[in-house]
Parts: sequence; C-alpha cells; structure tokens
Amino acid sequence: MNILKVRSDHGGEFENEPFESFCEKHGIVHEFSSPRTPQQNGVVERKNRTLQEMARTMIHEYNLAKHFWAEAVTTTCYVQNRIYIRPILEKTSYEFFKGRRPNISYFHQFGYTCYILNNKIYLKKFDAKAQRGIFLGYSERSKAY
Amino acid sequence: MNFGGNQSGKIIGMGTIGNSSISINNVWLVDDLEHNLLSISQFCDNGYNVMFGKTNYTVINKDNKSIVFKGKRVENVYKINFSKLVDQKVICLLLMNEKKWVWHKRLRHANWRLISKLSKLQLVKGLPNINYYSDALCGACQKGKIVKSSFKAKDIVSTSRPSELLHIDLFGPVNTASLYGSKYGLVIVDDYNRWI
Repeated sequence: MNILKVRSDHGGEFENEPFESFCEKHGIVHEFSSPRTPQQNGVVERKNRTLQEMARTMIHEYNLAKHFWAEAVTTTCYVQNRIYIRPILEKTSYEFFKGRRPNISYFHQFGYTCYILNNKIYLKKFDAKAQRGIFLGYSERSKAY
Repeated sequence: MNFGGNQSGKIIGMGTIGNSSISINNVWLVDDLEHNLLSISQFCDNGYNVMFGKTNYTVINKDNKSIVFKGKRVENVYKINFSKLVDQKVICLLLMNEKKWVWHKRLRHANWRLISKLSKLQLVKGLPNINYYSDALCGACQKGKIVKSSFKAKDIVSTSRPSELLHIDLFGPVNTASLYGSKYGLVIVDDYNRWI
C-alpha cells in the first residue's frame, strides 16, 4: 500500500529538505494547510485532541506522575486503533488494516498494579519471584510484555 | 467476583434472602467470603436514604419518610440483624454492574456511545455483550476531557430603558501608541439598545 498524499501544516518538522526529497523519491505529494490555519488540518488535530484527552484522563485516574505521559499516549494510540469506529463505513481502523476483527479480551486498565515475573536475573531459592509494577501498555511485537 | 487487591471469589449461587414481608433480591453467594455485604449505593438507587450516625444507622424510605430498618455500629462496622426485620419492607436491591466500568477503563476511558456501538455491531472480539451506558460521572474523564459549555443566548431583554445597565471593558495595552500617545481603549455598551 503506497502513500499518495501527505497533508501537514508548515511545522519545521514537515517542511524541510530531507523530508521533501524523501517524498519526491517515493512519489508522495506533500500538501500544506494555509499558515496559521490549523482548521484546515482538522483530521489530525482532532485525533491529537483525542490522544491527549485520553492520556490525561488515564494519568489522573491513578494520580500517576506526569512523566508517564509518553506511555499513556502510546497505549491510547494502541487502543484507539482497535476501538475507533470509522463513521459512515462503520468499521474499526484495525479491521481496515488487517482485514479481521481485533481481539480485545486481553486489555487491562492503565495504571493498574501488576506483578512482573522475574526471568532475567538469577534468583536465589527464596528471593521474590516477581516485582511490583504499574501497567503502562502493550507491546506491538510480542505477546509477553 | 473480584475484590480489591485483585483477589477473586467464585459466585456459587444467586437468590433472595429474607422472609415473607421483607426480602433482598439478587443476593450472590460467594465462596470464601466471611461477611455478608450490603450495597449502600443500591439502597440509594432504589429509593431509600441511608443515614449513618456515630453509634447507629437508619434506612429511610424516600417517598413517605418511614424508617425501613435500623442497625447498630460494632467497632468500625455497621451491622444488620435480619431476624428482626419482620415488619419492615425492603424490595429488590439490584446489583450494580461493575463490569462495564472495568471495560470503560480498559478502553482508556472511551466514550460510552463508542463502547456501546462496538458491542452492538460486534466489531471487536472479547468485549462482553452487556449494556454499556453511563450511570455515574467518571471523575478521571472529567479531569481529562471536560470542556466549557457555550453560553445560551438570552431570549428576553433584561433592561427596560437605555442607560439602565452599561457593560464596560478596557482593552490594551496596544503595542503601537496612537497619534496622541494613548495605549488603552475603553468600550462602553448600553444593555438596552447596544449603543457604543
């Protein structure tokens, strides 16, 4: 699946020489919204808001430290991809991408106390086998995380 | 059934307890649970007020203000004696559905309408098929997502004559001073005819 068009604002992270040459190389048309008009970039700005709102909600639910925001945003992204329903087409983003319904039966609450099985460090007989932690997210690549 | 600290107990059965005149419905018999627990929120949901004092508590019917039953406090626990509840009426105490709240949190506090839609259209696997709706405010959602609602336009004129009420505001400082060197502007609007 090839990307045909990219739409962005005039941020320095999008409007630069390496990015332009990359687009040119892969045949991507780069469209810009008018300067100082985030309204034209509505799709991504709205998603931005969803991510930030959900992450803020999760952090405040268990009074977590704010520097977990990156984890909160990542796991929000993970969950959003599986539960967001595209209006009109009435399907989740995951289903468009993978062609099957996502399985969410393994989902956990963010910030929950969890216990991590210690299988890395060598343990003495009566050392604790698990360590306490806070659940922060899933792994995209592995079933064990 | 899950308790705090992630322990769980098995629900062996469900039923009704009490006698002919008073009964509590939807009682779950849970393995290994040493005490019988009553949900105050369910009392309140079903039209009863519960008042706690230092030594005792009373459950009051909201409609006719009659006392349904009383109980005493033993150390830190408020206790109830079922054998004394002969002439009192308690009906149908539903159990609150905690499951949907767990899923609301697992789906990162997603909108209730979205969860309900996911479940109805069966777009995901593993989401239990229950009725998803909000029966209480979620504190974390409020902290994270609350926005200000817009002010509704008034459809009446609240003043009866010009210069009864004036709206006054000052703007500035403006970066560039005017020809006479002023940097602030004063705006006065009359409420009745909006004369500036």
